[in-house]
Amino acid sequence: MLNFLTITEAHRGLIAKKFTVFELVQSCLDRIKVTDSYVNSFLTVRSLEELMPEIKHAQKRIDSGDYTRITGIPYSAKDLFCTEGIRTTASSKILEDFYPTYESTVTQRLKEAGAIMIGKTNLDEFAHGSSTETSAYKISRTPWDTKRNAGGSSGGSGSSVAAHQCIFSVGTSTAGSIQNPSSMCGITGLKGTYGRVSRYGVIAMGSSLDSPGPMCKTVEDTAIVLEIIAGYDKKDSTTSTRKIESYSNLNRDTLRGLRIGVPKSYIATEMQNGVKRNTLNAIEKLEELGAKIVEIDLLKPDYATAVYTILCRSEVSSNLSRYDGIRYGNQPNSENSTTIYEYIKKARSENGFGLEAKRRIMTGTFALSVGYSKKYYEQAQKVRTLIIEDFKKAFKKVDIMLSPTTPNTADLIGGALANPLYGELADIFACGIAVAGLPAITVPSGFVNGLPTGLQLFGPHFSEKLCLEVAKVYQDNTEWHRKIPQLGVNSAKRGIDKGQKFRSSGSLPNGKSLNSNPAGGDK
Amino acid sequence: MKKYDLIVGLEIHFEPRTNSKMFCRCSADFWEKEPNTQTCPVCLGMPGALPVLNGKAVELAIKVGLALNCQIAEYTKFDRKHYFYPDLPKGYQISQYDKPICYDGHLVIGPKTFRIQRIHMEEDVAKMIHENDYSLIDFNKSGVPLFELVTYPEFRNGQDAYDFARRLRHIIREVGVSKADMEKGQMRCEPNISVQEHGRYGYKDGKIWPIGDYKLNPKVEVKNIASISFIKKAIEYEYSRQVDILKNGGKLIQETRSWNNEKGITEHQRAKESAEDYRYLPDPDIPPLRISRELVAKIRSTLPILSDQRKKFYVEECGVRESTANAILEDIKFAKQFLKITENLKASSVNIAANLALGTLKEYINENPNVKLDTTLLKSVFLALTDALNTEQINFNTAREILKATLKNPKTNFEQLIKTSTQTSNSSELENLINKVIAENPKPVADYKSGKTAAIGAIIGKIMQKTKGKANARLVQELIVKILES
Repeated sequence: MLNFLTITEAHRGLIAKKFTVFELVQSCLDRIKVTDSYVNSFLTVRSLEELMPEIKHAQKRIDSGDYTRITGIPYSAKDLFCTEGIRTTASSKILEDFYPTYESTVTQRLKEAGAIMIGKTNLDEFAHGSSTETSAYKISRTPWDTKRNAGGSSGGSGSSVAAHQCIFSVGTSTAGSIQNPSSMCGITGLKGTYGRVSRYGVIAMGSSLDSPGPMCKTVEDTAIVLEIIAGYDKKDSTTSTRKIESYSNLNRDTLRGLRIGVPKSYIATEMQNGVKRNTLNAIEKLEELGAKIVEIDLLKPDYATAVYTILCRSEVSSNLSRYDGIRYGNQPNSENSTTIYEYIKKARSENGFGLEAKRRIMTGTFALSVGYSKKYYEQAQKVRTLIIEDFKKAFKKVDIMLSPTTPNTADLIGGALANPLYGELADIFACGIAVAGLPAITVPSGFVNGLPTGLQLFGPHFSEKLCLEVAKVYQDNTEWHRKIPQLGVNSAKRGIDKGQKFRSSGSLPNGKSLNSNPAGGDK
Repeated sequence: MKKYDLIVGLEIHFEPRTNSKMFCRCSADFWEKEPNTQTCPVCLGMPGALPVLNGKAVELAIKVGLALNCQIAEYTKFDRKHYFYPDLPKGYQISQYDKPICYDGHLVIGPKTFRIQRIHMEEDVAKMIHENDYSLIDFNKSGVPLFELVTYPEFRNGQDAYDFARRLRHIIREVGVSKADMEKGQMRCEPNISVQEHGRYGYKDGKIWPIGDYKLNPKVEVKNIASISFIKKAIEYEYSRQVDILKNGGKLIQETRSWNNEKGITEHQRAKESAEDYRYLPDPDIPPLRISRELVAKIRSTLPILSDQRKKFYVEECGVRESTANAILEDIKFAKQFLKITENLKASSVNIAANLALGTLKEYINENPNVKLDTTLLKSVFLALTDALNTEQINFNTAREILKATLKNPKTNFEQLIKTSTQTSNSSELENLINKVIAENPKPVADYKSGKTAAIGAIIGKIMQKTKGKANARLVQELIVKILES
């Protein structure tokens, strides 16, 4: 049951010698063993044997007093982070047997701080999607109802944290890929300002948008992880040299004097009634906690969605050019090709890219073609500048803004594949933030029919600390994040009413139901 | 009048002298290295690897731009140029599309000015080796910095293009931007050649345009020119090939051809049916650069005075013969040494120094190529020698001997030598000697008197012999003339 702890709790236990790093890691691995067939979080799980040197090293650091707050803490990483010697697939067949010889900066920094990466989590193929349904391997499910997807693209990270298979996870957000699964799985997730967290070693989707970030059980944990992974990286020229604040030093206990903006156009967007209700409740709560709520005029989120779609597809078509089957990745039998172009075509199409990746490559290629790039790509760049200005203007009137994280709760499996613009709709509140490169945090804001909803708080560039502070005050005064999903049969019917408070009850989720078959199935 | 005019523009690639590659820390020196030993995730195009710009390359680009009279962009960025080929690991080359670092330059060669459209920075591709039924790729060259210079279609004959390339190579070597060794691929020159009917096209703003209903002939790009001297040959061959086709009623196609130097011909490589679509995209991994004017000024202050300017100074202000100036400036290393040695000389002394340097000093360097010259010492030697020559304290011959002695043994007390070698300028002493020589040598005297004035040289030679080279030659000549003609 150690796997149910937060970073702060686990750290305290390790320091007080209540348990060992080995026990903590083992409890997570055990949990994965019994629950992963329900939620499909992992593409790769490292064995205890493989982890032993890291466990021993972390224990030694703890024993000798040379530790950080995440030393010995087991975590999962989205399978988009390159990890030296550990298979990294981006959920694509084209990278099925890819073992990087280098480490991403984020996982490197976590490693240096002593955290233990126990596995790589499922995502939409190359992060293209908001449901993990485009993954070439499996569909991750929200532990709140395993007939439903975990959101995406960092869906496996979301479900691994929500199902307590690890203490925390790291994901990436291009437009909502951290916020969306965090919301669908009922956890806390943060995407930093573009350039706050290094992209080095993160398999690129939309390079001008990609922002890695923590996905955790609490705001407090999120701040701890961000403090370790954020900051300038000489291997990524787009990272900011600005000094990182001490994020984990969150002292605010009231929202008095704070102006929180509510964008009218966002609230007016079509969304589930329950999501709206929870958002309005959250607004009320924030007001109660002392914040001044200000209605704000912002451009309709649809513009940002259009801009995002064009920029992202264009960059995707470029970023995926390197997968040609020559140096690594899917290598078709060359004897069946008479020219190099035939070979490259085979590597990319036959057992290479999936449908969504191909669709994005095609749209992006079109948007960048002579005669069309002026109409699409260049136009989108111009509108992007307007969107940035629009946010800047709004942040003169308020300190921070909020919106629902997503307009809907977790969708049934199969829902995403039916709509090629599924993600754009699911992430309508994330596109503007992504395009403008703003920091955003999502925290659980309640449940609708047993499914979690999220509240998104976002601020001006480099206002991560403020986002964390406001989110923490909210979280300290709500209980949503303490609910634990019940895995197993009929889980769809379980939710807030039957959810248990781990710390108050000390009991584990219903173990009996683990023997039942999960809903849905692998692709 | 020929019916067809030759129109040539040049695309010249050269490798700047940086230690590391354009976007990673791998060594840029790939020449004859074990294949695929100088690579990393960045230059192999591995997933998630990111480029980091080499600042030295940017400085060198600014430097060469200034040397070629270019404007230096205040805002410049990198773009991705997409195409698939096994030597291009990312599926795109990082290059510069619409905002090159240098633009609007020119090069003056004699009476002609040739305009440079742009110079941009990019990365080289890997090297491919084709065997019978397989190909090998060596990524050591992948990501090596490359500059591409593009001229306007300014050249109307092969000689001009050749002169331009040669001059360009000299300048980029002189400012230390590239070794520009064509055989090592450090400089590649690709002419774009077309022929157009005389009088039926115009040339304005760097563009060839048709007059009336005239349809422009397509251009041919010639690659694989391995030596600078082949440029002229390749262009001239292309001119006659294209004109012959047109004269025989044939049609030209837009194509890339390869120069075969053994056969002295160009060969078809591939047709360019339509303009390729590279889907240029500003590279989101590399933030755009703002180049401060302070940086440009700083780099400008490090530029050496180019040989063109120096030649002007030597010839026009110091009275150095043009051939002498050329001979000194042609050899970049020697020109630098000469500049150092003569930096504190008066303009009037530079001419003497040039003659002294080109004869004695150059000879010594050629004979002792590995000896490091002590330019500080030579600076004082040259100052002393040219002063002594200016005041006619010694003659040129003596100066050469003293210089030789100092080169051989740097500890030579050259000041003492100058003092003891002071030439005889005592008129009466010299007159006596001349009279003696005239009496002893009736033949040259008779020759001189019969109009062969050159015979005076023989008489001077005898005087020098007798004075062991210490006579003031100018005075001796004056006195002989005076005596013989009195």
